[in-house]
Amino acid sequence: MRTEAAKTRLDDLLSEARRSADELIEELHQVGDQHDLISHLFVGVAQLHASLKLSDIVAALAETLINLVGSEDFALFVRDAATGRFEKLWSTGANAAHLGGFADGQGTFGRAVATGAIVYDSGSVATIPLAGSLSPGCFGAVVMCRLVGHKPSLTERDHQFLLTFADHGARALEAAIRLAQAPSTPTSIADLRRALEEAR
Amino acid sequence: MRKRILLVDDTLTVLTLEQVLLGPEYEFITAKNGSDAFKTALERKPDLILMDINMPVMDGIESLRRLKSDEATKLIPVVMVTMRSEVENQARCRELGCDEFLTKPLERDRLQATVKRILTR
Repeated sequence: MRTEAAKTRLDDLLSEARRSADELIEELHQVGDQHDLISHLFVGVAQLHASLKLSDIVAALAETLINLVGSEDFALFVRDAATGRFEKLWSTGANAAHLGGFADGQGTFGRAVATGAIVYDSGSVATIPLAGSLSPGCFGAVVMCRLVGHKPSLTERDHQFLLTFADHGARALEAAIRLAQAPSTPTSIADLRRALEEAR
Repeated sequence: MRKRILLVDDTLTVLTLEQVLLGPEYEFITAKNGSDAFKTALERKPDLILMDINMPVMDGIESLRRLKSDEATKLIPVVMVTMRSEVENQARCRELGCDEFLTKPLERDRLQATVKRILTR
């Protein structure tokens, strides 16, 4: 009788230990996934803010999508101040090469810039609107046409990463565009103080 | 003592990501093309090389060929980091003595497991 009771108790303890081990494994996976996401975010954001030069920022956006998300077919659109339409500034890959400009609200791409939310669809993998901080609305968008062959779809980590990419990519690109358009950059402390006062 | 890994890629994004994903248990040195990689391997004698294929100046395949034909570097394991679409390049790398392949975008689990497996064998 006592042996039976001890056996039952031992079985219970073993079951509990197995359950705890399973939970720990699950937690370990979650911590690993978090580490993976944070690593990607750190590297992506650091790259996007490493320069203010327009060519560097476009290269950083491209490197980020190629190496951290896994797409080699995408285009960067920026709003043309003269017409208000979004026109292609840069692209890589066969499908992106054929993309034309679009108007605010027109089609999938236009819907993304009109709402400011990333649109995922099967035609293009994702349209990532770029919203500025210096003026309202979106001033650009990244249209990702295709993922690399061995990547069937975007992962949950990619979705989370692209939210940060949209935010920081937009800030970095907006600053670079403004700087490229600026007639001169203030260099003296008086110029900088004046610029700061004007901004207030 | 920490194992020394030579990371070779022309983009800072990949070089940084590899270091962040692998963590502080390794010592890292970097090179931005195949030519620098070969020189750095001769001078610093890494325990492992992680190398991209498409790079300016000297690509990863030529660098691998030099590494594997030089007495001083031929025993250093080399992992090529590629896009899986580069099938022809992969076949050439195997002929030249590359130890393993990793595909971009890099995944932490696979990267860590591959590096650990090669460094502990």
